[in-house]
Amino acid sequence: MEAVFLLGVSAVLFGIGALGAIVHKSATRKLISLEIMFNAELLLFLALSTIYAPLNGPILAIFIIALTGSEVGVIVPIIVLLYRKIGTVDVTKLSRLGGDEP
Amino acid sequence: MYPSSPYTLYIVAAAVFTVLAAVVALVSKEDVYSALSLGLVGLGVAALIALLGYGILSVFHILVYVGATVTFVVFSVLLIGRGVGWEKRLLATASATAVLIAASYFLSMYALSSGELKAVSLSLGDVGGELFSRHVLSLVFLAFALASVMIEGMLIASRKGEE
Repeated sequence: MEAVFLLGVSAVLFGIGALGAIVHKSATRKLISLEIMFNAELLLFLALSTIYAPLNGPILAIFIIALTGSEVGVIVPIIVLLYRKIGTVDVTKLSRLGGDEP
Repeated sequence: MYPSSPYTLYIVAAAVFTVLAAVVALVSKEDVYSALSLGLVGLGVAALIALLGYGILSVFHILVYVGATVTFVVFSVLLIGRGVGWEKRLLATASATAVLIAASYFLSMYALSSGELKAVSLSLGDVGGELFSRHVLSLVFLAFALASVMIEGMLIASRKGEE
């Protein structure tokens, strides 16, 4: 099996995630799309690490996966706070990062 | 090197499953189903990781990513409720942009991916030995990062941030 096949799968997943991140207005759906893009990157990274760095690749991947958990742990409370503040998760309703009510 | 056909078949099946789950996550009308499909994407990627030979990492991905991160997203979506739809007027432009992004991603990585997938067999001892002998400081920083996220989540849950 050529690594280019997994590169194609990864590119398709990345494109799907990018499309979702652009068209969706909901912050949660954007987060889900970004997570799909993360999965695409992780897949390609590990496919390439079988060729170039069979031992160090998975070590780095462990840190990447754990830090993604931290990232989601930061973003989701921000979305919840956003929902509490303006009553919706529509990112197009956000005109300001601070100051007056949107 | 894996010339055998069952291996190829497994990889193709896992890849098709993963892409279909991603499509469902994209087009699903309900946010909950989209979040659950993200979990299926994670499971498909974990299957592909296992087929690459990283069984330990595959288990880690299922436990930490699907088991914790995606579950966190699913419950958050359940708490928040229904989403707000998507920008229909952007669909054509966004589709073209996504195709361009995927094509440029593919072409930029193509030179690196010219090799053949190799068989990797890593045991838990290999990974653990490497992790706890050469990357201890990184583990400490990771523990601090996770602890700070936990404290942040508790503060937000207790509504202290709004006072």
